[in-house]
Amino acid sequence: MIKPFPEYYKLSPSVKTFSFVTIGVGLVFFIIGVLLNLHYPARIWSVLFSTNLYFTLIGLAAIFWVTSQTIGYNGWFILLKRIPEAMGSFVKWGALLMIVILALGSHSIYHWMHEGITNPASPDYDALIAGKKPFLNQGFFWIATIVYLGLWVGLIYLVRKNSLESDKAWDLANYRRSKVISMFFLVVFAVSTSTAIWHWLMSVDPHWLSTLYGWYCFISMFVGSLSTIALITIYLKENGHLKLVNDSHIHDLGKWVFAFSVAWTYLWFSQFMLIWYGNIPEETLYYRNRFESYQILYWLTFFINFVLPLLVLMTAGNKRNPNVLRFVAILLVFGHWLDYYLMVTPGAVGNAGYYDANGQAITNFGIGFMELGLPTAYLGFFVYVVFTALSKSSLVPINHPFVKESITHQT
Amino acid sequence: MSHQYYSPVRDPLILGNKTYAQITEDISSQAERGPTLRFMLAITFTGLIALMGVLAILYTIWKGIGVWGENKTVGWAWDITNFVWWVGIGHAGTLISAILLLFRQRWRTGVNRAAEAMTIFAVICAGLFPMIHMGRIWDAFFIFPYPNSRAAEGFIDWRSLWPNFNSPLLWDVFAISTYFTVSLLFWYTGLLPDLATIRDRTKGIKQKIYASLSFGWRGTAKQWQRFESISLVLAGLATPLVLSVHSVVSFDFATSVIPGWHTTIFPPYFVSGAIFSGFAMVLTLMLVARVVMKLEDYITINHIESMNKVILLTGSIVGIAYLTELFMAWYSGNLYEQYAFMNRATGPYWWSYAAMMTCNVISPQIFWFKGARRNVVITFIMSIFINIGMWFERFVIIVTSLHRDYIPSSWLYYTPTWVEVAIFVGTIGIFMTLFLLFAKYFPVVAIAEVKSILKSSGDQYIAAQAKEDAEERNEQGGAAFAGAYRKDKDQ
Repeated sequence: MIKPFPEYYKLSPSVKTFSFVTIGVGLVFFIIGVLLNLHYPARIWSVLFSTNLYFTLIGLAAIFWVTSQTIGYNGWFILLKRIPEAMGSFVKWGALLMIVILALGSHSIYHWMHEGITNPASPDYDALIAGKKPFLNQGFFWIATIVYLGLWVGLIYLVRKNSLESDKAWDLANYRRSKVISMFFLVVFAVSTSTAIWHWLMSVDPHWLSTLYGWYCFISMFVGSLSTIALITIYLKENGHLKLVNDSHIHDLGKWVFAFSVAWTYLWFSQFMLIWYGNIPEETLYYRNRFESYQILYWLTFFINFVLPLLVLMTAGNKRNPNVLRFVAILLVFGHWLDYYLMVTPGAVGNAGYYDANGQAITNFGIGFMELGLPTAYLGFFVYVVFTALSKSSLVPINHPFVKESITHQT
Repeated sequence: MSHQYYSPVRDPLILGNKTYAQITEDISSQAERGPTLRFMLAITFTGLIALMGVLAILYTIWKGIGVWGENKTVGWAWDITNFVWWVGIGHAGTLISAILLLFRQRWRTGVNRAAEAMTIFAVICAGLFPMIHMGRIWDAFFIFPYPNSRAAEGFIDWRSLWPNFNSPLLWDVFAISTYFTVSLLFWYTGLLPDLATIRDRTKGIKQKIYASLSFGWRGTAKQWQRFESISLVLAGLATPLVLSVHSVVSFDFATSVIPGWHTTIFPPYFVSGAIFSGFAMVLTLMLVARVVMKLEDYITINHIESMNKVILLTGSIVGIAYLTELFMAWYSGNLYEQYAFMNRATGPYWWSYAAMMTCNVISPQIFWFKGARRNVVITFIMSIFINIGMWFERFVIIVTSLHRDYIPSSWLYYTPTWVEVAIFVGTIGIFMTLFLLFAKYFPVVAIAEVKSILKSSGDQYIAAQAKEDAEERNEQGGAAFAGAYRKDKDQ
């Protein structure tokens, strides 16, 4: 007889130390960077915005994974289910910070928010942006932002609450309820990620558009999220937790990371190739900005997010090897952060700060104290929030109807 | 570690308390029996329709493309619409056999064989259209690589091998022929053990035919081991192909700069639409086949519900893509984009846009309700709706984007001629004829694969597991693990 047993995780001192040290060191770097860049507020706000958005979306996409797998009758992932659920609890913090960052910094990030840009009498008038006013206006932007964040936080709360309640007793009604909640979450997620991405990210380059952009951003956050799930699983397993998790679970996580890295590339290529082939100036300007001033970083994202997982995770042995998977996953978490950074910064900052003495734009890394420090601090914060959430329930959802399938999982 | 456990919460996929012997008997006896009168009538009917299509094709080749309704402005119309429609339909089979295999969806075993066969027949029908549309069909070899003198002088590299390497139409040739080859191999490899089963049950000339078709399959451990390896390799190859084929088809349009065509969402949106239409066609055929061939125990309501869920998912993705395109056309501030979409919805072809929206976006929403997903009649009607809707989607994209170009003096209206209609209906005849032949002479459900899920998804095994689990819970007092919940604890 297979018997699931509850397992508890207590927030370990090493995790606490890791969080506090990364937050401390990261903040010091960030503050140094801020002091050096006080004359370029756009650079400060864009790194704050893109980093906060990335970590929030990682949490959100983790819940997407749980809910989509719930709808899809996934049995093998049940032993890992509590990890993405805990990751979802970062979203409320991310949402709060998002509102603060946008309230204080949105004028530095969004060109379309500038005074007079939609006023025909103003010298700054931009007819194209004025035409988008029904969508790009502060009122709508704020209402939409609050609605997206509110819906996400509320639904994530329901998903997690329902899951934790299943620990009380064996109850199929709870399982059925999880399907209904998941369905609502998925519908909201499917619509709101695209529209939120248009509001928050696409409008950073207000003249540019791409119909695929929303889905592209989704897949990027999803790979970041899957990699984080893999990292937390491996960490817990190696520290004596998740005793029932075996190689096959690690292997399957590796498959997800591999498959969706390839899917990311598919969408990257589709968007890039079609814009390159069409060669319409309004569309190519997006890539031109990135290739002119951020070339090395831009190709670095492509290398980390595609070439690396493709080559390294191709074989079954590597997917099952926690050390290899951890190596790739760490780089992927960074690679997709870089992807988000490059969605915001070239549009918001342009070449500001990167001109030589003659006023010529110069190619550069675009990475300084701020860009190293802030994600490090966020990483510490994220780890602290997620591991605290993990410590609040059993790691094994012992009453889930598929938990025994997950325990006997073999590939 | 004990053996793999299967939760009794899952729905059974094989009904009727079957044994292995019964499964063999139920499925292979269909292929062993001689053709019935009903079958002869059906195949005569579809054969005549196919013949009509072939005659219309010959007529087109004899007289030239002028017998079609295309004009100077609308150079692509029914032919390419039909091509994309058929390629789309050819997506379900390989998705079911490859991607659902990787996702370990056990319900795939009930429908994968027929869906794969359908894929192959649909791709055959699709491949006809670009060939005929070339007009001078005897020049069709242009699309294949061959050493030639057509390239610009001085090139002796790949540019002289392929006349137009940078055209997405050429990429199509590669994408579709690769897809066809891999799908065919996948389908036929899966058939080998089942053909051998029929061989062992028949006598005389029939046995000889099935013996040669089964390539000497004996079912030894070595053969099974090779079979499993090759299945996995083919699944790995086929998975990216399912995505790439329709992506490349979408490039035919999206690489251009025509308003309504040049949009980056096309590749994933086309793939989603293809799966949507492919599942609709699988349902149209299988809902009939399961009743006629008495396969209700193998293609159960649970299978139908799963397919309807895929339809709801892909249909909703397609709906989001429609709305995204509409929004972006407005957001672009580009007059031509905006006009292209206004013209789709309100111009002379408004009816095709309305048909597309109704059949593809609005009506599939009924599948949010479990009752509708499990209702055979509703499902059948919806599958026909979706087949129609997806045809209109391609018509909308192709014809309405072309018929009003940048110069109003060249605006024209396109109407198909009887020849085009006859060719299209003819390909449906070809498709149905091939499917009927397959359904009559081949095992229409994958016998070996269904047997592999009997112990996890047979109704009697699920009932036994449910009973065992209930007893186990009773022994432990019903709430064995209460107390794992930590709400009362600190933090």
